Amino acid sequence: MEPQNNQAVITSETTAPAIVECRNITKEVQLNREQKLTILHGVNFQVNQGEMVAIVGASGSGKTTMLGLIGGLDTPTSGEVFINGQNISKMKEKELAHVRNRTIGFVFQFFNLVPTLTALENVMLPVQFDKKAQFKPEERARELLDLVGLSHRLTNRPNQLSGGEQQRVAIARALANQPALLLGDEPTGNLDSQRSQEILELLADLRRRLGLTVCLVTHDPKIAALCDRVVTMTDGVLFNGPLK
Amino acid sequence: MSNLILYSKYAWRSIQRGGQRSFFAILCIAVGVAAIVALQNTGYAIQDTIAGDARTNAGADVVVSTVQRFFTKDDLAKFDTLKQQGTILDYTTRVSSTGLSVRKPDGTDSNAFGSFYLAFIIDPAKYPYYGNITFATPDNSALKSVLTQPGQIVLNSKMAKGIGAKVGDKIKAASYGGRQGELQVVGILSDKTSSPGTNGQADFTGYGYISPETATPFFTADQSLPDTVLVKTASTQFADNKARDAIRAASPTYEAQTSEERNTQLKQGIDGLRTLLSYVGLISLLIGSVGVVNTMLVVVGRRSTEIATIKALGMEGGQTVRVFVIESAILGVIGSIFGVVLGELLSLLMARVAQGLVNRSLDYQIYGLPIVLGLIVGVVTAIVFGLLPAYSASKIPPAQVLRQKTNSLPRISWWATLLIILVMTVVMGALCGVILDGNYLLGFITAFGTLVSCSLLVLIFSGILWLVGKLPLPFGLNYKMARRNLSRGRGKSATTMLVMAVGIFSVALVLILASSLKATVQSAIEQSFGYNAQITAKDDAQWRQIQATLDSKEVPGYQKNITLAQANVRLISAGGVDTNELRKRETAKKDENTKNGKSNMQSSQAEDALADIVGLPSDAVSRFYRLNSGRINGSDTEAMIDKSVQDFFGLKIGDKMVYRDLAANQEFELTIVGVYESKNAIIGALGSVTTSLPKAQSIPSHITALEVTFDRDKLDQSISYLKAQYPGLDITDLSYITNVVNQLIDNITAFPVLLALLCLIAGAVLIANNVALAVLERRTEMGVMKSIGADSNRVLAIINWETGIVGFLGGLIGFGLASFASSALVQQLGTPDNPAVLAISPFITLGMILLAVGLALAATVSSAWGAVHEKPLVVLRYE
Repeated sequence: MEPQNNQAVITSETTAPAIVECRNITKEVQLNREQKLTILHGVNFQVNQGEMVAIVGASGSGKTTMLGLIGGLDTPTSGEVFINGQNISKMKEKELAHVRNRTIGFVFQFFNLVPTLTALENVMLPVQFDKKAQFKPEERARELLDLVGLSHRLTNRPNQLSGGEQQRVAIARALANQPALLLGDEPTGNLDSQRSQEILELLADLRRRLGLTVCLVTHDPKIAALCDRVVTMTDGVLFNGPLK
Repeated sequence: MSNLILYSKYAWRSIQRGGQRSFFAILCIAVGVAAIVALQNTGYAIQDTIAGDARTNAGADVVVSTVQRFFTKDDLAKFDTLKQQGTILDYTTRVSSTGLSVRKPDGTDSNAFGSFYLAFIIDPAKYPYYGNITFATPDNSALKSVLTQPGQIVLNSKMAKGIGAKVGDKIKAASYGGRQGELQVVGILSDKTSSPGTNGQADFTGYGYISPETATPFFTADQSLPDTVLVKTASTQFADNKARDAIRAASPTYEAQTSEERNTQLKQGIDGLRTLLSYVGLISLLIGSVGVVNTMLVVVGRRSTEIATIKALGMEGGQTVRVFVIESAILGVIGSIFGVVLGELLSLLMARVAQGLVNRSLDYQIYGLPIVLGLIVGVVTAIVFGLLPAYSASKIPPAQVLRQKTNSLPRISWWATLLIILVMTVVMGALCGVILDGNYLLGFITAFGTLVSCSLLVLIFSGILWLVGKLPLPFGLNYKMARRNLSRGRGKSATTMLVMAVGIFSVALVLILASSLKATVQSAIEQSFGYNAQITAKDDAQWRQIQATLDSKEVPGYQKNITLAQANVRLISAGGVDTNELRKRETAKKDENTKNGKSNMQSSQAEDALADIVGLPSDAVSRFYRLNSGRINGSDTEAMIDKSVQDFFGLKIGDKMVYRDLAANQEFELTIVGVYESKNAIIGALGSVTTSLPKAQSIPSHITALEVTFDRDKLDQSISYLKAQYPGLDITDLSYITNVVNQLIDNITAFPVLLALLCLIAGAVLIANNVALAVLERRTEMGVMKSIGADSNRVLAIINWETGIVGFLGGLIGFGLASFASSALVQQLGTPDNPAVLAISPFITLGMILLAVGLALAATVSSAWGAVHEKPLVVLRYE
């Protein structure tokens, strides 16, 4: 495994255009008045269109922070993040919300469905948030829930669904606005092995059928094995290749 | 001990870590404690101001009034006799019924009551026997040192301000008989000086003091008969009581009270007010306490994993309870200290607003008891309301540490919940008892009643919110998500709705009652009087001239008029029974009414029959009265009586009433031919005994008045025309009655409105707390929403919808209940002829609803702003 310095770019060998491009990003958090903690140390990273990349690493290594910065959930202390050619690191809150809505889809470890809404309504949500939506919310949600095999669970609320089903709904919701990039934070971390396997197969299948670009944070070697590329985060520094 | 330090340290760190939620919990307690401290302070200040030293307050040892309204020379002779006998040392008199009109130097009205001010006629050499009347200018003066010559007047600060006069100025004054003259201002009283008497009328209009010599050119001998005799004794309780008994024995119509008795009566009146103030404080505190429960429940919920961890490390359930009780106690201590400081500041405002209620300037003073009580009540309340969450914490299973993080609390048994609620009720009941001056039974009833009624209302409101959750209205996605959230968190939202409803109910009730009272009076004046100006003739010759002028149709806008005369007389006997016996009947009737729970309010109306008769043309009778039995009087020897006279004095149709004409000292007889009731409950009857106009006018002491209807638009023109024709004419635009009533109502309502607003503010703090807690519980959900494309504005909009709906519904229900309650109360003021008017203006309705929604939204934005603008990763990653 080759350690990367601040200038090196962890990139793909494909020639497809970059969907994600991180340039020398650092992230610091203020612990108290005097102390700062640097989580990411000048990371350079690129994901090209159609790629499926896994970020692995120990707990606290900075991989979820990295995913959050790519997804526009937070902004870097320094450096730049480009998504689909757009620099999102200096964007205002409203513009960032727009990017998260149209360009990125998220899948979380704990599913994070809105508990008061049904499966159908959860999936409709991103389309409804989009003021210039290209889809009709309900039509699109039905189509996606059908795609993830839940057309029979449309009116169920999250607490009426199993973990695997909830994650399928979450995946359908992530795809609602046909994003360029699907981000997953331990998408199988809260599922048993059989459900994990099903979700993995679903993700792989969707990627194939929809030509998705996927970036996942995971501990699961099975997921890593399914990906085109695995990068390892160690103490805020990114390395090429799986964790050894 | 070391454990206690450890628990305290742990609790204190948790409070520090709590940030905003700790702040709001502290604020909840602080607002409640502040309300109690401020209201108790105000209660004490009112008591000290109104019922200070008994003799100073009364200005005498014994104060005597008479149901016959004034004392004649014969009456005063009885006091001279008592003085000679040594029963009393001295006496002096006061005339309170005389008034002067004083306009501003430019001729415009100087107050809202037709430039009318009360003029107390006193003997400056004697008055008052005790206490000094405080002067603003000249400083450190006394009445006897400034009122040294005839033609001088001392003004109270309100009158001086109204007419724009200063010491040394000469002012033009006119009596209601039309007599005019010039008076020199020789002193102005301090605004802390209270007026004589207790009814506050003088403080309300403004007043002055004049000597009997100054009064002579303005008032006839009849007009300046004293209504109060102030008696000086040896200043011992024994001497006071002896003098009182002797005076009472001298005539059954004398009402003598020792200064001590007067003060006790005053204090009883104020005690009612103080109890009311304490109730309001308690409501605010209870509202604040709900905030503590909510906060502690959320604190426990959010720390369930942490609690499970320390339990896994060996902490016992009992220890967990102690940790959280200590945390509540610390919140209570900090909140109470803040509350006391806030309460003292609030007292300053309260003292100012309460002035309108008691017509006195109140001194701000720091009282020890409310501070101590506030501190104790705040801490105990916080601990008691922290019990339930603390017990929940003790029931969190250690195995929770192994599971996914959750905010939900373990279920605790019904028995445990009931037991804790019982403990809470008992402790709160005891606290209420302390606040209500040791009335523990009332305290327990209050605490238990509040608990039960609040629980019921919360249940009903939960049902309403459940329905709202099912109500798909076309307000878009934000509304849909908000109503679903409301439906989910019904318990907390229902509590918020309850406090909003209570706050709006209190404010709306006072406002609707006040506006309805104003409208009812207005309608009563317009409907039953049917006239809009009153002319008091100087004498009958002038009355005839004015009548001729009116009849000539020269006066612009004149439509019609009636004449009435009022005469001062003495009732000697009625139905063959003398006045002493009638008074005994009245006392017996009052006792019977009290026993049967009936009102004695009409007794003062009945007492008018002892001293007054009214003369009306027979065709005008039906305008004012509804015949109850018998017929309208037809001749000069017949009279009709008010039903109250029939009831309290046991008179009937056919009875003869023997009166003495005081001026001519002649007796005459009137036979009762009918019994009437006033058509108007608020304004009351013109008089209790009505005879013919010529009969009343035949009595030398009578005053004749013309009640005139002018075209409303030409009223000013009409008045100017008549004044030009009759210089110095006493003509009053009766809209001043409306002004008087409106101003009186406004003065009285300002304080209750402030009290009600206090509840509403406590409610707003609780809402802010609830929103902050709800946001805290839903941080992850908000982070997720933002991660799928919702911006901060949308997240805030959803929360705003939620609290907006709660505020709107709470406001609507509070307002609806207030309208309903007002309607029931206002009906009591109406009669079949003059039904009460329930005045609910669109302005009040809209204002109240907007106030509710506005407060809810303001509370939401202030507490949720930071959280909704949090970066989503911070929430998703670090929560």
